[in-house]
Amino acid sequence: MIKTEKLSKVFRTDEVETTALNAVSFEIKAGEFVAIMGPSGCGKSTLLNILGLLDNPSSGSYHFLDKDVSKSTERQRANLRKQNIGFVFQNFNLIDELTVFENVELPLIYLGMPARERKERVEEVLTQMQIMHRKKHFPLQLSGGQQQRVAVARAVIAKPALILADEPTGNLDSVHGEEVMNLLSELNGTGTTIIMVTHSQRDAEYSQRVIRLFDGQIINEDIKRSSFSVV
Amino acid sequence: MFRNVLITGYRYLIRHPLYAFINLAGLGIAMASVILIMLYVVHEKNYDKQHKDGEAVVRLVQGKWGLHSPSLKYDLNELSFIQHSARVDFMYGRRMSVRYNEKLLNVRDIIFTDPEIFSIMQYEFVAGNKEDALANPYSMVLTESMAATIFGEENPIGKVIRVDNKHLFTITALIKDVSHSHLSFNGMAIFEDIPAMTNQEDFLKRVGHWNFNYYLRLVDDAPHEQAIADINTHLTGKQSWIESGKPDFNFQHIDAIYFDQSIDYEMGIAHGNRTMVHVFLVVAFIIMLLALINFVNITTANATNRAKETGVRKVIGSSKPALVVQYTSEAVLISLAAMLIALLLVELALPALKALLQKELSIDLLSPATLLLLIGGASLLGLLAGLFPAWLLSAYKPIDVLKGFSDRASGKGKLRGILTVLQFVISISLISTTIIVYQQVDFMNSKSLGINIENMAYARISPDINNAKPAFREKLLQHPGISKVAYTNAIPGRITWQEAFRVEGESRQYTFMVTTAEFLEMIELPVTEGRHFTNSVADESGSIIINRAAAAYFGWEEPLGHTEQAPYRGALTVVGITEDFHFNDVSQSVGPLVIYLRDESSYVLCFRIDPNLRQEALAHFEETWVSFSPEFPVEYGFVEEAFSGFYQEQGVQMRVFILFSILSILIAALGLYGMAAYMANRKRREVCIRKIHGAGLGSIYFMLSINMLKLVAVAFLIACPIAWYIVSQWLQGFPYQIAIDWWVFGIAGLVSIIISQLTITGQVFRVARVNPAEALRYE
Repeated sequence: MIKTEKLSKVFRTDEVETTALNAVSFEIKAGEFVAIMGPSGCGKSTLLNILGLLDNPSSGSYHFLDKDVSKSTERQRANLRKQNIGFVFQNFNLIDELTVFENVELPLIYLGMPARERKERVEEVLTQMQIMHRKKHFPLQLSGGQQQRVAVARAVIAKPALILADEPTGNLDSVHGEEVMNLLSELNGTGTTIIMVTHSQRDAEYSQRVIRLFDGQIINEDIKRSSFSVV
Repeated sequence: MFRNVLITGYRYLIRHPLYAFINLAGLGIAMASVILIMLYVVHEKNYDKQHKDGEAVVRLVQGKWGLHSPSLKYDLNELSFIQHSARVDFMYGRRMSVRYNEKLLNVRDIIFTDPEIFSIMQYEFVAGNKEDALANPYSMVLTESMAATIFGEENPIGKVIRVDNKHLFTITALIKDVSHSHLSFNGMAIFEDIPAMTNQEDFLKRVGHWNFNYYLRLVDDAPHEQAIADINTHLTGKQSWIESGKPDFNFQHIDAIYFDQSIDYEMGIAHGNRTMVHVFLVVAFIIMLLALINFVNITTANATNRAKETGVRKVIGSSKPALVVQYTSEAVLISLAAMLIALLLVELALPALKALLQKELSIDLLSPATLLLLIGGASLLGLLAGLFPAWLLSAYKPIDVLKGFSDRASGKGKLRGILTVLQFVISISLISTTIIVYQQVDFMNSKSLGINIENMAYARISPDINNAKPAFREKLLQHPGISKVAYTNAIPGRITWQEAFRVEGESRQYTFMVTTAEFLEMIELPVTEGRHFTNSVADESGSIIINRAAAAYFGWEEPLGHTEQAPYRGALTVVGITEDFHFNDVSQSVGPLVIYLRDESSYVLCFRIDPNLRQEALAHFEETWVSFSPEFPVEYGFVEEAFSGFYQEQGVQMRVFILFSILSILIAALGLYGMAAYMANRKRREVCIRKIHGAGLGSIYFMLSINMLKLVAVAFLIACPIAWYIVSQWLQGFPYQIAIDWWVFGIAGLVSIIISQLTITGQVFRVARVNPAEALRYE
């Protein structure tokens, strides 16, 4: 599903040049649950942004669904994103002005799905995430755990093949954190590929493989258990 | 999708009431102001648009003269390219006593004109028709409202009224009230009835009695330049007293008259102030600009609040154009909502503005064209205001904004600074211009006229009183509250009579005033060379007093004692020279004036009253009037009021200008308040860190206000020369001007500093009170 070769990202300002990623190469198959770990500033989030098509690499190639997307335009990336990728962030990133229902519904609107179908789908996912009773509430009326469940609901609503999670439990207490990890694990169980950036060894335990980064380079890959690759 | 945009926009406004208030109130007030101003502008621009083929309808003028002799018409009739010509008189029907059965009233503004007027101008007939309306002698056409005043519910057609207790007029037709025209009147009678009415048999043949407007309809394809040349050729030598002069006739298009104030000598013509219309258009533009700046400033300042939303929408799959459309749509919706507020404000303010401007302004909200214009205008405005912030917002990169966001390096801060400076430039310019406009109008209001018109009442005497002038005078003087009584044919403030000398082959026009020695004594005419009229009227029939302006204008070597031959009046010798005094309003420079001493044509009575016995004196005057002249309703005024028409107009314009200036400043202040709130929020964390390290309120205040003060200082430097240039241009339109004081700009700068500090002070205290721990946690 994902293949990178010598992927690099260099940030330049007037005076400083920072190499965030340095010739990173790896492959992730469909259905895998991969954790990316490493100390602060090692390039985890940069890597995730490139994998999530939010940013282009400075050099190297990135194949997503067998297509080289390293030089894609913003429009092409936006199209690929909305059809294939769901995002879960550490700080949830829900839109404060929209209700739980409307936040989760948003990706379907961009996909142009008719209103009735959207309603059915959103209610189905909210029920699945056990947040249906809160559908008319606004994000700021919810606990952190509930907000993250809404964020996960929004990430999975369009049934993406890939979910990218950036420190999904970083803002949660251990109980809510575990809930979210279980949700991601269940999603992976249904065949969704999950790539998760985390500092937490405990969260990493849920993955099948850990890619460790240091100073923009992969220092090792732990295979924890065999993946049930569908490809 | 659109619903989603609506919901997000609506909830954002609800959750950010300050943002919503500033944008809605700012745009709403601005739109209301612009609508009100545009109603005025459109009203003014629509004068005389009702006449068909306006191109072919002209007024005849000569140099600065708009008035001509009665006999000119017969010469013009000989020209084939003039389809129709009509004289219009404003003197004889300026005020008439009208009796209908038991009803007796004074009627104003009946014009005497030729029947061809209906083939030249378009008037809407309610009853009767244009062919018969002025076909027979002593016919009269009335406007609807004048007919209602005289006849009430009765059908006026065929009814006979008694005018000035002497002439019987038959009402032949009714027309709609004449508004939106430079030529406004309450009724029409026949020009050729004037000789019989006034016992001036040779009236129509007169060539020197230049007191009548001329309107012409040219044949459709007559080229105007050729027509003017032909008129001038044709008239050369036609008028006896200018036999060697060259006529210099010209045309004024019917729809250009209202705004054309280049004609100095005219009567009964209503004029609009084109400069004022332009000033108001500029003010409307400024107000809208300020509101747009506010919108852009506040929206971009708040962009950080929306950045997360942008990021999330982009991550989820929205494209940049979709976001631009979303944010622009929001701006359009805000603009449409502001339009609703604006319409409400217009409904509330319109009656007051109508009363203030004395103009029939109206807005028809049910007309599809108006609705389309308002909705279209608001949408366009929303688009203008929203496009830049939308583009800016949609340009955020999701990876930047979702990881915590700063716009410090984005350059928008600089843009906001520039826009804020622009707002201050406008505010400082407006404040200083407003003060100078006020000073100039005040200066003209208080300018000495050079004569004494205090506590001077006047009344146009009736024929009965005219026959008993000395007795009436004696009776008035019996009251202790009346100290002086004099007859005159003209009172200062409304002197429009014109004549001309021929000096070195050229016509030298001047204003003349026929009056009595008592009147000149009453106004304390400042004769500084030669003498007053000290002899009898018969002995002084060949004497004139001229003013200094006339002495200079006529160019005689020795004005005092100079003798000049004048048409109709024979040899005239200058016996005295008076200092220039204002005989018309002070917005005009004092022109040449010639004063004759006569008794026979004095039809205006002036009397000076003791202000302490005002009521009693006026009551005595009224009683005396009724006892001498029961068939003519009593009516009087005060000479100072004759000047007040000008003061009122200037005063109204000034008040409206000040009102809109204050609104502009209010809108700017509103925007500044929003900016101050934004800045204070941005500095929250810095303030807390400073507080932790011991900063006091003073240093925090300084820190937060210094940037704003810098912006005011820059704006001050830019605004001063701009405002100075604008007001000095404006002042050049006045013959008597104030000097521009430097302190005016100082005050404008100071007011701007105060506004900026007022907007920021509340915010400083709000931020300074925050518990540091809370703020840092919040960050």
